[in-house]
This record gives sequence, structure tokens and C-alpha cells, in this order.
Amino acid sequence: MNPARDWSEELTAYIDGELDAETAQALEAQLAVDPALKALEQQLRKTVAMMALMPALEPSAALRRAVLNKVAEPSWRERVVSLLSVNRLVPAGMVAAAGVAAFLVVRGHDSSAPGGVENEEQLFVAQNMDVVEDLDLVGLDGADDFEVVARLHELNEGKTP
Amino acid sequence: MPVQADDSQLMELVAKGDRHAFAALFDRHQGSVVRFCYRFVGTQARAEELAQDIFVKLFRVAKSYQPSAKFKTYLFRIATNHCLNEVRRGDFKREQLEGATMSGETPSVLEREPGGLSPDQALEGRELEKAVERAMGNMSERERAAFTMCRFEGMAYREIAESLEASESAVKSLIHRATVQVMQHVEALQAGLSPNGRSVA
Repeated sequence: MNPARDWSEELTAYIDGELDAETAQALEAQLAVDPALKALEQQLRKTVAMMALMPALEPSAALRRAVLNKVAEPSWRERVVSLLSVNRLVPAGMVAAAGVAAFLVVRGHDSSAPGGVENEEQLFVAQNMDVVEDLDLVGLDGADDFEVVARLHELNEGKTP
Repeated sequence: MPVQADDSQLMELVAKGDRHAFAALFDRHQGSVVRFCYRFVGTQARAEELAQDIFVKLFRVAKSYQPSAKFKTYLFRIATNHCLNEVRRGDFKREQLEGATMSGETPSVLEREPGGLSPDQALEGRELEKAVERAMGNMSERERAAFTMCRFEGMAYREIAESLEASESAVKSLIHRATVQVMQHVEALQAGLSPNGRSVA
């Protein structure tokens, strides 16, 4: 036996039944001859026994609900895997391809007709409807003649006095 | 699901996504996990927040569970890592139970009457709890974890060593130092003194 050994270090493990048989026997021999060590062993044993008197803490019912709800939700990994599945990717790809094709068809149709110019002319006519009425009377055609028609009133006014 | 399935069998079912098996495991071990977390954060509400994270993590990593490992050891390894990380990150600061509890918090275990005890026994239990709390406040995180698993969960040193990823020899030292600290605080309580000899009346 090592006389310099600090046997107090072994006491807790001894009380917990965690020492091997040989070390436990050596410690018991030391306890028999060392009253201070024996007193410490008694005090530690009492402390360990008192832990059973500690108030118990019971979890709330809300915890159970929260945890079970949480695991019912898919994790972010499950969501990503789900989004990348063939069942989702193929229909999504088909929809996207159809959208692109529709866009190209519509764009091709638009470029064949000067829709922008038409719209501008229609807007101009609407803003100058009174002039257009005069245009009909004079019998001219084309947007370039609008200014002439508009100034017919000035000519008439100039002649009157 | 087998009626009397053990923890390992339940975990195998959980790994396949069986939520009933998970609920059964949760019911068996929620008390242990909440009590363990409570020793780190000091209030029931915060302990339950941590416990929730731990059980959700358990569900997510169930596929990595090896049936050769004891389930409780596996669970407490997750719990220990989570609690230590959270405490170190500073999201949870351990409440000191000597003062008043924060308003709006769930009352700590000290503020509720332990069921089935006489007023004298309840007082004794609360005083003891305070002494243990003070002692645990002075422990290192690993001492606190080892002490809790040993004294309140009845785990063997070998299981605690696996949970803490430490040697049995290290665990023996952790538990001894922690138990001595608690002993000193309990002695001081009985003598009406603080552990450093000052009166606590």
C-alpha cells in the first residue's frame, strides 16, 4: 500500500460502489485505522443519502405538446429533399418550359406587327378629336395634315375682321 | 409498436420515422432531461426550452443511433453537449436561486410544495435544494453534469464517462469534488453558516 496515497479521493467512488474489489478492500483497511477518514466517509455517505430528499421537478404538459408538434413538422432537410424530388421537378420543369414557349410565341407575334406605332396614332387621334372632325370635312387624310386642318380656324378668324 | 419495447427497440422505430415510438421514449425520459437541464439554467421554463431542443435533435439524429450503445447514455450525450453549448454561448445564464425569480417565469422547483411532504419536510427539502443550488453554482460545468447524472439519474460512472466523452477516472474525480462541495454547503446549512464560515441567518 502506498502510504502517501490520499484515500479521501476514493471515498465517493467507494460509497457509490464504483471501486474495484482490491481498492475497496485497501480503503476499508485504511478506514479502520483512520478516524478522520472514517468521519469524512460518514459525512459524504449522509450527503449522498440526502439527495433523495430533494424536491422532484415534473415537466409541464405544454412541453409534450410542443415537442410532438415540432417533430411532426418536416425539417429543412426534408423540405429541400422534397422540393428536389423527381415528382416535383418534372412537372415544375414542364410548366416552366411551357411558359417560356408561350412567351416566345407571343413575342414573335408582336414583332410581326407595328403595334407600338398603331397605339401612338390611336392616342393622337383621341387627343385631337375636334381636329379629326374638321379633317373629315376637308377631305384630307393622314396625320401630317392635322396641323394644316388645325390652323384652318386661324385662317378663318384672320379673314373675318 | 411492441407494448413493452425497450428503449433501443423504440429508437430503431424512431429511426424509421415512427412518431408513436418517439412519443413513448419522450414519456419515459422527459423528466430526466428536464431535471438535467434545470441544473444548468435554474428555471423550469428555460429547462423545458432546452429539453425541447434536445428531444427534437434526438428525433432528427435517430438514424445515427447504434443499438449497441445504451439509450440513456446516448440521450445524455446529446443533452450534455446541448446544455454546455447553450451555456457557453451565453444564451442561457444560470439563474441564481438565492434572489427572487424573474417575473413571468415559471416558478422554480423551490417555490412549489413538493407533493406528499409535511410542511417541515417541505421546508427541509427547500433548504436542502438551496444548499445544493449554491454548491452547484460553484461547480464547473462538467462537475455539474457528472454530479447530476450520478446523484439524480443514478447513472453509473461508466455511463457518465460515455456521456461526457471522458475517462472513468476523470468522472470519478469530477463526482468526488462535486460531492465534497455539496457536503460542505449542507454542513453549513445545518450549522447556520455559509460554507466559508459566515452566518447565513
